[in-house]
Amino acid sequence: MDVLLILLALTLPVLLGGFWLNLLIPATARGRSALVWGHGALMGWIVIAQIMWLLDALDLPLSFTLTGCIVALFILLAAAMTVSAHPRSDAPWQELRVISTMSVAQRALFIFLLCLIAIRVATLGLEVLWRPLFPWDATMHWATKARVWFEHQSLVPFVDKETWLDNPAAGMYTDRHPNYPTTVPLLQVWMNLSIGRWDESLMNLPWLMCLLAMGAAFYGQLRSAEVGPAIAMTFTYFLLSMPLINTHVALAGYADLFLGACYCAALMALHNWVLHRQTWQMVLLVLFAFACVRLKMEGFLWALMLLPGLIVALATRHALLKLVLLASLGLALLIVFRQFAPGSLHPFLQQFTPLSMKGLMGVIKSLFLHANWHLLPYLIAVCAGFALLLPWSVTRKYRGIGTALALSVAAFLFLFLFTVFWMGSANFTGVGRLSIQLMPSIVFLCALLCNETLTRGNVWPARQAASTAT
Amino acid sequence: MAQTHHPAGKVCYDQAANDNNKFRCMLKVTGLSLLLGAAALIVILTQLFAPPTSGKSGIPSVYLTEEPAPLARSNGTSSTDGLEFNPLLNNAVLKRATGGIEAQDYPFMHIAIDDPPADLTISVSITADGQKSDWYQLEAPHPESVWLSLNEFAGWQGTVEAVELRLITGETLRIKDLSLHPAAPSRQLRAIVSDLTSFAPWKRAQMNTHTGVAKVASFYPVPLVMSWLLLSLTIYGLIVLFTKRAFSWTDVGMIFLVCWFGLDLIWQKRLTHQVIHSHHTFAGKTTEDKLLAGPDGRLFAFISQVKEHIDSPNARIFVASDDLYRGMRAAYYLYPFNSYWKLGGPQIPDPERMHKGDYVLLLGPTRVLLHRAKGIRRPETKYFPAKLLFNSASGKLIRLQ
Repeated sequence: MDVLLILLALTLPVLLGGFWLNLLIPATARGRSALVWGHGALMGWIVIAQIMWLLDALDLPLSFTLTGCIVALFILLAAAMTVSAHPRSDAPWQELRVISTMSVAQRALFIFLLCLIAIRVATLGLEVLWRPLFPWDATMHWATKARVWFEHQSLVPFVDKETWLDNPAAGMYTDRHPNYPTTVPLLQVWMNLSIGRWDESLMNLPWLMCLLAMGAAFYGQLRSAEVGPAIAMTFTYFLLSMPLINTHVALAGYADLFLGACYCAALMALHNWVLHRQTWQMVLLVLFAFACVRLKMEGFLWALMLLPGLIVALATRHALLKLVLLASLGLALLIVFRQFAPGSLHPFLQQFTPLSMKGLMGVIKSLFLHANWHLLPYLIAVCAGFALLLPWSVTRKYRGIGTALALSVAAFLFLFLFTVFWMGSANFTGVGRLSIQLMPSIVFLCALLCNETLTRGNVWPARQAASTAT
Repeated sequence: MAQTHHPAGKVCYDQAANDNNKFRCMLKVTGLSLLLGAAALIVILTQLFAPPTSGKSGIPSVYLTEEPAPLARSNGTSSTDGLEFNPLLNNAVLKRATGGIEAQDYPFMHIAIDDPPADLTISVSITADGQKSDWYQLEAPHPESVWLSLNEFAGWQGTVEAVELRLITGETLRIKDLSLHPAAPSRQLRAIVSDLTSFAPWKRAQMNTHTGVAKVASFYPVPLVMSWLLLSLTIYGLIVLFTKRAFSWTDVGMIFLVCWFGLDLIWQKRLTHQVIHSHHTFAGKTTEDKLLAGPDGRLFAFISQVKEHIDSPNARIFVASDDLYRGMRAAYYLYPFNSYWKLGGPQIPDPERMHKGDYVLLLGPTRVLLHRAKGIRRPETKYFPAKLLFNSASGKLIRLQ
């Protein structure tokens, strides 16, 4: 019975998101199945947590049955709308047809990489199934909330230590970060509610689902960006095989993987919307930008960084100049305030330091020496160099995603090189986890640039060119 | 291939044949580049990165499984098949005297254990110049044959007098080989392979970074494979330069992909060992049994006992410990009781913010002082009356009076 309930708990979010995105994404979209079910699964998990939060806000108890019924209603509604809409009978087979037109070698590579991904997912799945909650932060401020909320079947408030001490009889709890967003703990509550008991292994299965969803969405968006199936699958394999991302699945409980997946989904939608101006891509962008905010504090920053990307992609040269001047003025004011009136700044902005060499070495070691990302950082360095050599007529279409990512990376570097958080880089306690939030997006941009290089080099046989045109 | 007026099938066949030829050619070129790149890497590693030695030639290997020299202090029973050692009889420490050798003459150690039990853990310690080094736990899933690069080993310097192995297991072991060897390219390569195939169960820090190496590894795997990639690409460049082969980004991509596979294979191997280890430890157990079997087993058992002494579900419980990890974990295992644990700062609040009926859990070591008659206090505060409710080797539960 537990197995059935767990399967139901895993399936409902996927169906919820998948069915609704099936209505949104047109039949002619490249990589449609991957787009629908990848984004759908990811969005479904986020929405499930929001539904539970909403139920609690309405003073209703957290309940698998109640939440499940609401979700099932939405699924049925979407299914009914799908049936009544114009039939899209051959959409699921479109990608298979494209793959069948690839050369034997490319098809073999595609299948081989898919098998490697399957082996990796199975390995990680077994680890998640057997291992109880393990990582530090998970037991410090994520699963703490899940444990209490599951027990009380309501979102009992978590407050800071001082408030907790001053209000002994108020039924409040405390942990290290009481004000962290509720989405991640609610995912664990959902899984435990399904089987009616606290299970420190099964509650981590959403992280495995997140990995699968991220991979599918990633593949789908690469196809949507007119990347061929072989290259798309290669980079999907790169994304899903990186050790630190795998570790965050095997030792589940942190929010970084979900945030990385959602930020990547938003960024991919941004890029493809700029390219093709499809409304559904804009909807995905907005939904996943909102999801970032609901996952972790850094999500605010990453979601904010999408805005300059959008502006740069759409703005005229004149408007861009204004934007650059405005940003420069803002930076100058910040420096002046910091020099003469530091107390007027937000406490975070007061924590600037001169360049920290230890922080810099930490970033370099984490990326280029440690085995967190296999060879990806080296590939990124090469891609960045090549991007400078490609003509403007080619790279202009990447200015939106390039700007958003460049600003995010700049913020990342600024945090670890010029603030008191340099320690998080020097002792590796923060730099790796923050990198997970950006790496999937960076892999996406790398994939696009590599595709430009490979296809502009005219090295594909004519058959591949025909298959990418479908 | 030029389009000709043939039936569609002939064109497809010609296109496919052309594709197959191109693919075979690509395989040959990338394969050759990778093989020659690997060969070049081996030459560079063994010639330019060989361990520093004294430069003396003809140094014989030292086999520590053979009968020790007279007056040397050693234990274990030598036989023709190796060294027999019973960890239960010898305090789990196997000590073998070396007779005094210069550390720089012997940069490599080989350990081989016959049919090692799954629960065996091996730690190594060196006595050199009268100083005994710390224990280093081997990260080796297959101690049937492990090569260690001793230059990375803290304490491997000067005159080495003894080598000790701490072998934790419940079974008698047959140590086929415990030997020290002078520098040689083959031994260096075997040590690198041992490093790359090393395994240690999950550590807490791995959420933050995965170094990819054992503590005494000579090389990080990523720069190693990156070097292989660069050398392979250089070979490929030379092939393009001196043959009729046209440059192709696809060839470059395939070389990169194979190098990525190499790193990923190492990672997959580690993950597989980890899954086997997790299966051995946790499979088929309930959540409570998993926690008892895991690294927090003793703490979880203690907290389970503590919970039985807390009579109110709304009680506040302050967790006090100098050990950050134990304190944090104890607070977590206490949920859904209302626990308080603070990272940094006083371990318990000022007395005026605590109340009668609150509980305090003391996990040693801790700066909170307990006096059976007077109660508890921080070093700088007054006593708060308290009663000891539960006492064990892991800690104490106190209720404020």
